[in-house]
Amino acid sequence: MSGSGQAIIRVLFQNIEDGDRRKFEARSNDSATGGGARDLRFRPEDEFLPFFGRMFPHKRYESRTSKGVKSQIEILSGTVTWTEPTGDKSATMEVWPATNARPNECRIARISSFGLYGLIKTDPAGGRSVFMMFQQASSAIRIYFTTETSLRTGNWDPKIKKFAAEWIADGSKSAFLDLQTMERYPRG
Amino acid sequence: MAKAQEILDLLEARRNVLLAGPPGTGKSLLLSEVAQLFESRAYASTPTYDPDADVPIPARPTSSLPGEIGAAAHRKVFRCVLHQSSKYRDFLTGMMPDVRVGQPPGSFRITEGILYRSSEFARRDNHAALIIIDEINRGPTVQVFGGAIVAMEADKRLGIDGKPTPKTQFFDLINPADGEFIEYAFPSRLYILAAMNQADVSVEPLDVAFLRRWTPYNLEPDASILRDYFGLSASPVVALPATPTTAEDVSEAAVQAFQSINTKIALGRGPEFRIGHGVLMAGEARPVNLADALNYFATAWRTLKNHIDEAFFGDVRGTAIILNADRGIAQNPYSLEETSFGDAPRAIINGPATIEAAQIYDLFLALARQAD
Repeated sequence: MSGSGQAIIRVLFQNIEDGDRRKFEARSNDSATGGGARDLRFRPEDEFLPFFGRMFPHKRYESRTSKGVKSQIEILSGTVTWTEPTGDKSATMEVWPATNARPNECRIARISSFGLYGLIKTDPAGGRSVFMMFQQASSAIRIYFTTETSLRTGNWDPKIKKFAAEWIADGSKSAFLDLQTMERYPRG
Repeated sequence: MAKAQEILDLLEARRNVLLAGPPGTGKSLLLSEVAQLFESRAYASTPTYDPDADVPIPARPTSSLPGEIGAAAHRKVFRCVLHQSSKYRDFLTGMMPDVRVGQPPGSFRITEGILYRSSEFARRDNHAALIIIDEINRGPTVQVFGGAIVAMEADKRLGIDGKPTPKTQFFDLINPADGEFIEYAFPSRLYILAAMNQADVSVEPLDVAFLRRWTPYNLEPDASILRDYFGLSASPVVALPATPTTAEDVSEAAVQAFQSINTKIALGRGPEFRIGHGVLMAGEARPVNLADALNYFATAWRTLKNHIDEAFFGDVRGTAIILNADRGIAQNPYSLEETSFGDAPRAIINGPATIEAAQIYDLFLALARQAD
């Protein structure tokens, strides 16, 4: 178990709503939004993209043409790990900036390709199902699924528990806490 | 919290600690702090990934609590106050009428007193109990402890594994479970902290054999706490102004008067009859301007004067000496008058029943004045 005992430096939460579950399963059909419907979206981008920029070490650039105007976009990437019943699995995750169609929403691309659907936990009390990512001081990034009930009543670190409680009380869909820079969203 | 930590260290080393000090020296505050520390759950400041825990970023309790106290995963504080009606059965076990709903008339039941409950809690694996007994000299202390008086000593307890040691002292106790007498001993992780005001004129001194079972921790009146509280310099101002212009002038005079009064009480009645610094710290906040300060200390003086009257009850000359009323100081609102009752000489103290805010500074100047 490499990474055991590693200090946590960044935490991300997202409430998994019904539409998001389908994204994990790659059968999102709420609208004809193409591949984007399989992305996990985070807004506001101006808060989340800098956070992802600190979390993911690699960058690559692609050209994009929109309404006849060419521009270059920055795509962040890094290896993420999660635990399945058979053991740990890893894959490369990409974070893309907002599109013109969905401004101010950055996104984790193609979440469906990770095969995480079966790991989503349903809250026994009807609370939030939570997608969670956290980064250790070694830079390793892990994915974890939990529930509102667990975050409220489980044996979580008090800092994580307090932040989760504030996020749930705020009502926003997504949240991050950077324990190195002490930046956070929603802001306390 | 430094004193509270010190007391916890003493409790760990000796199991029974007796906190003593004049009124107003912070005993109650200290008891609360010890209780808070005993039950505290401190956590590591850095969240850390642990793949083997039930959640990936679990709480990691840390503890600066000493020895067996810190080692116990479950800690609980039990609190009680001893009083004239306290009985053995309220503390350990005993018979009492059972007047609970549904019980036939004339029924009895066996009580589980607070010391027994604390002891039972501490007997469980990985458990520790702290019982706080306030005003321990205000009740029939020796009767209340009964046979437990010997068994409470640290080296007379059960071992840390819950088994008797060669020194374990047992005493007879009615078992609440079946009403039979059993041999009972206290567990190692039972900690007893008691508090008392030795100079309380309304209570009897404690039995010496009982006192031997405790490690004393004495609190003293401390003027430096007052200096810190009122934002005064660490050393006294040598020449107090004749008329105050700031809250600090009044506070400085009050602290000097407080010290002078305690010095004289210690000489005239004994150090245990002094009064603690808390008597001047009763307000919500320290005074911020001159008018506030005069009112604040005029109110505090009522309690201080009451303590002097109690400590020197029936001793007019003693009271006059404490008040510097025997020295003909012009601005002192109090003065000693020699008179007679028939042929018998008498002394009376003249002065207002209540000191007004306008008089309090002059009084403090008079009280603080050293012998010429």
